Amino acid sequence: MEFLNFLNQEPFRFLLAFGVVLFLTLNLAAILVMGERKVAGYIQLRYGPNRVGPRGLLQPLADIIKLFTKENISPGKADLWIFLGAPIAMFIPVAAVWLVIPFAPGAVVADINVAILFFVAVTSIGALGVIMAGYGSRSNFSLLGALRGAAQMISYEVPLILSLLGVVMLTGSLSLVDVVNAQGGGFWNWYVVLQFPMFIVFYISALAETKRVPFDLPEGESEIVGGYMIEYSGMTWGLIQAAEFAGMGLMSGISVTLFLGGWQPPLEFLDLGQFNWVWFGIKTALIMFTFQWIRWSLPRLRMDQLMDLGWKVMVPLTLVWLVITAAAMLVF
Amino acid sequence: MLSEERRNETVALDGTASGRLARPDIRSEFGLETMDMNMGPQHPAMHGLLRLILELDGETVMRCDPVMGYLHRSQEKIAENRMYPAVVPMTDRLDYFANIHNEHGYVLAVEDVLDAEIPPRAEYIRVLMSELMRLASHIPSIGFLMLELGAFTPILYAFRERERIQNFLEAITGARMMFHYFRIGGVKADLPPGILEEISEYLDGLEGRFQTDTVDLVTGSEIYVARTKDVGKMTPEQALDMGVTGPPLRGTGVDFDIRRDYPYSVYPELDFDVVTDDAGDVAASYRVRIGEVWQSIRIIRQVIEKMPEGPVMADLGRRLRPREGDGFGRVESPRGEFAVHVVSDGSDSAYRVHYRDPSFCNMQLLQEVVPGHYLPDIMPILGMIDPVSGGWDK
Amino acid sequence: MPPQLGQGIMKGMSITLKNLFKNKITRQYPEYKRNLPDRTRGMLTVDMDRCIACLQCMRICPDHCISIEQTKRDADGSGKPKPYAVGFVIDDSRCMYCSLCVEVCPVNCIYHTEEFEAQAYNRLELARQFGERPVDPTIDPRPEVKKKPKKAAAKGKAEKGDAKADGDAPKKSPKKAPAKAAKSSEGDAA
Repeated sequence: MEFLNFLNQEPFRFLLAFGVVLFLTLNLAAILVMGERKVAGYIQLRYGPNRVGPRGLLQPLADIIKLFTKENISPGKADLWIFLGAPIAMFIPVAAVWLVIPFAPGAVVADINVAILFFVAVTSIGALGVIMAGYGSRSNFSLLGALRGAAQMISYEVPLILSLLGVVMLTGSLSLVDVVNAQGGGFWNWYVVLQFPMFIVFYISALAETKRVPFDLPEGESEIVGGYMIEYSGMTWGLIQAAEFAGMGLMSGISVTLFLGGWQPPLEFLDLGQFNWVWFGIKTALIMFTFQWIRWSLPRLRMDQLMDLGWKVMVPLTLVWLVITAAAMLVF
Repeated sequence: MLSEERRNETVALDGTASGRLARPDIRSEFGLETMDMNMGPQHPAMHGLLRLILELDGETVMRCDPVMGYLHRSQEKIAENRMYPAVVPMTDRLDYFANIHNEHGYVLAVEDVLDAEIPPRAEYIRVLMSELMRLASHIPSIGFLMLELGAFTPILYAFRERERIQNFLEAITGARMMFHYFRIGGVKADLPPGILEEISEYLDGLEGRFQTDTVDLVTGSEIYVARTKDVGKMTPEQALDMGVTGPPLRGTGVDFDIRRDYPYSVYPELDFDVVTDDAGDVAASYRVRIGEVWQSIRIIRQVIEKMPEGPVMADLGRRLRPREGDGFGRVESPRGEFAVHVVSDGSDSAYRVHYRDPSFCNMQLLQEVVPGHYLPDIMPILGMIDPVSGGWDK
Repeated sequence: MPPQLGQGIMKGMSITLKNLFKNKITRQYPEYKRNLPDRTRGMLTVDMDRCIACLQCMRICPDHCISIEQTKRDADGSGKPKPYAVGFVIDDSRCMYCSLCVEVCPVNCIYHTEEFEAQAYNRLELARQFGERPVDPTIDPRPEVKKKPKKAAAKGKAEKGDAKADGDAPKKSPKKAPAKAAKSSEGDAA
C-alpha cells in the first residue's frame, strides 16, 4: 500500500475527504427524507412508506431513481442561469460546513482555527440560494417565498451568532476541535448545562435557518405552495430538498458539537476511542428526531410573529445571557 | 371589488387588521405598486376549486375577489328535469362533506309542498343521521384549519374519527359518502339491529379522543392562538349584513340556530344549547365548532334514548304528484343555513328548485374581511367559512 | 392567567409523542379487506331469469346507465307472449349507486353486490352486458321527458306541440316506452 501514501499529502487528502463528505451528505439527505416520512407516518398513526423493499427501506433509492429520470422543466421566462444555479448555491455551503465538524478524536477534515466563523459565514450563503431560486423562477409565488426566506434567514442569523458567543467565550477558541475537547469528562461538563438558554435560542434559530416548521414560511405550502421551489422539478428540486435535509442534519451536528459535547461520551467509562463517532451519531440523530417531531406537531407562524420572536425575544435574551456569562467568568 | 370609498373607509379604521393597509396617498406619492396574484383554482388550500384574485402590497392583501364556478354542475336545472325522488341522490353532491343535511333540506321542502306526515321514528332517525354527519363534518373542519396553518397531523386524527362515523353511516345507509338515505316521506330503511348500542359505545370513546387529539393538541397551542386570535374579525352587524350563517355568525355573538329558532324534525323535543362566542374571529368560530361537537354528542345520546318504535316511511303513493304551490325547507347544516325552495306545478317534477347553500353565501365574507390581513391569514379565514366546492358551485 | 411560555406547545407535542408509539390504524388495503355491511351498495347485478322487462329501473335511473332491449317472447310456455328483456346493459361508468332501480324493481331481480372495484382501460369495458344480445352502451337510453309544465304551456304552444309529438309518446303508451329499441327487435320476436 506504499503507493497510496500520496493520499496523505495535503491537496489529495483534502480532496478525497471532501469527496467522501459530499457523498455522505447526499446520502444523509436521502436517509433523512426516509426518516422524516417514517416519523410522520408513525406520529399520524400510519406506517409511512413500507412497500419498497423490507419495511420500505429501499424507498430513498426509489425516490432518487424517480428524481433522476424526471424531466427538468424550467419556466419559459425564467432567468435560466440563476434558476439552475440556485440549487447548487443552496447545497454546496451545507456540504462545505461538514468539513469542519469533528466526528471523532482526530477525525476532522479541516481543523481550522476559525471553524465557527467559517460555519457562520458559509451558512449565510444559503440565503443567497433562496433568493436566486425565487428571483430566477419569475413567479409571484416564488418571489414572495424568496422575500420571506431572505428576511427570515438574515434576521435569525443574529440570534444564531449571538448564541454561539457564549460557547466561544467559555472555550476561548473558535476551533470546533477545541470546543469539543473542552467538554470532555462527563455530561455535566457539556455546555448545554452552563448555557441552557443559549442552547434553546440556538435550537430555535437553527429551526428558522433550516426553514423547518414552525418557521417554514418560505415554503408555506398552504398559502404560497412551496414558495421559492415551486417551479423546480426533477433533480433540481431534488437538490433543493437534499440541501434542506442536509442543512437540518448539519444544524443538528453543529448544535451537538457546540452544546452537547460533540463525540464526547456522556460518561467516562463509555469512551470508545476511535469509535466515538457513534456517540456523535446518536446525539445528532436525537436532535434530528426532535426537528421532525416538531415538524409534525406544530402549525406555522406568521411573518410578523416570526420577526417579533426573533428581534424582541431572542436577541435580548442572548444579550442578557452573554452579560451574565461574562460576569460569571470574571467572578469564578 | 371594493370601491375607492370603501377602501378608504377600511383604511380609516385602526387597531384592527384593516389598519395595516398602506394609505393610498402614501403609495401614490412614492410610486409604490401593488402585485396582482391569482390564488387557485389549482391550489392545495382552496377547499376545492376556488380562485382568489388578490392585490398584494408586500404581504398585505389589499383586495380579495373570489371567483367561483369551476365546479358548476347545474344542480338546480337537473332538479327541474328529474322526478322528485330522483333528485335526492343529486342533492348528495351539493355539499359533499355534509350530504345528509342537503338531503334533509330537500325532503323537507318536498314534504312541505306535499303536506306529508312523517312517522316519528323516521324523524328521530333523521336527527340521528344529521347529528352524526355534523360530528363527521365539524371534527375534520378543525383539522382542516390546522392543515392550512401548516400542521399536518390533526387532520389525520380528525379523519380517523370521520372514518369511524362513516362506518356507522355505511352500516345504516349502504354508502360511505353519497348516502341517499332520506326519502320523501321518511327514510329508506330502518336502522340495522344493534347499531344504536354501537354508536353509543363509540361516543364514549370519542369524547376522550376528541378532547386529547383535537382540542388539546390544537387549541392550547400558542402558535394556534397567535395565528387565529383577532384574525378575520367582524362585528355582528357586519356578519348579519353579509348574510353569514352557521359557526362564523355564532362566533360573533349572534344567537341564531335554525334547529332552535325555526325548528324542524324533532329538534323541539330535544334538549341542547346553541353555542355562541363574542370574539367574532377565527378562533371564536372554532370554539363554536368545538362546542357544537359536544352538543351533537349530547343530542345523539338523547335520540338513542328516546328512539320510538314504528314505521319509518309514510305512505305517499307510488307517484309523487304534489299540489301546485311551493315548499320550503331549511336546516342547520354544519356550515350554516341550508335551505331549499321547491316550486311545484303539479307534475312529476319540480318547476323550479333553488338551493341556498351556506358555503356560497358565507363566501361574501372574503371581500369584506380579508383586505388588510396578511397573505397567510387568508387560509384561516377560509377555514372559518369552511366552504365546500360542491356547495358554492351547485 | 399565567403567561404562556410554551405549555400548550409542550402538551401538544406530548400528545404526538404518545401517538408515535400507539398501534397504527392503517389497513393495508389490497391485502386487508374489511367486512362490508349487509347494506353495502356495490356494483349492480341482474338476475335475468326473473326480469319481466317492465323497464321501471331504466326509467327511474337518474344517470341513464341502464339500457334494456325489449321484445315479446313466450318464455314461460304459457302460450301468451310477454315482454322479455333480450338485452340488458348496466354502464358502470355512469352508475352512481343510488339504489333507486333496486327500490322500484317489482320482482327484486336487480340488486347490489359487494363488488366495488370497477376498473378498466376503456370506458366501454365498464358496460356490463346481461342479456342474450349485447346492447350498445354508447346510445343513451331515451331520456325521460318532462311533462309540460302548465305555467309554461301558455307561451310558445307551437314549438312545444312539436316536442309533444315525439317527446310524450312513450308516456302515453308505456308499453312502447323504449320505442326505438322495441321496434328494432320486433322483427326477430315474431
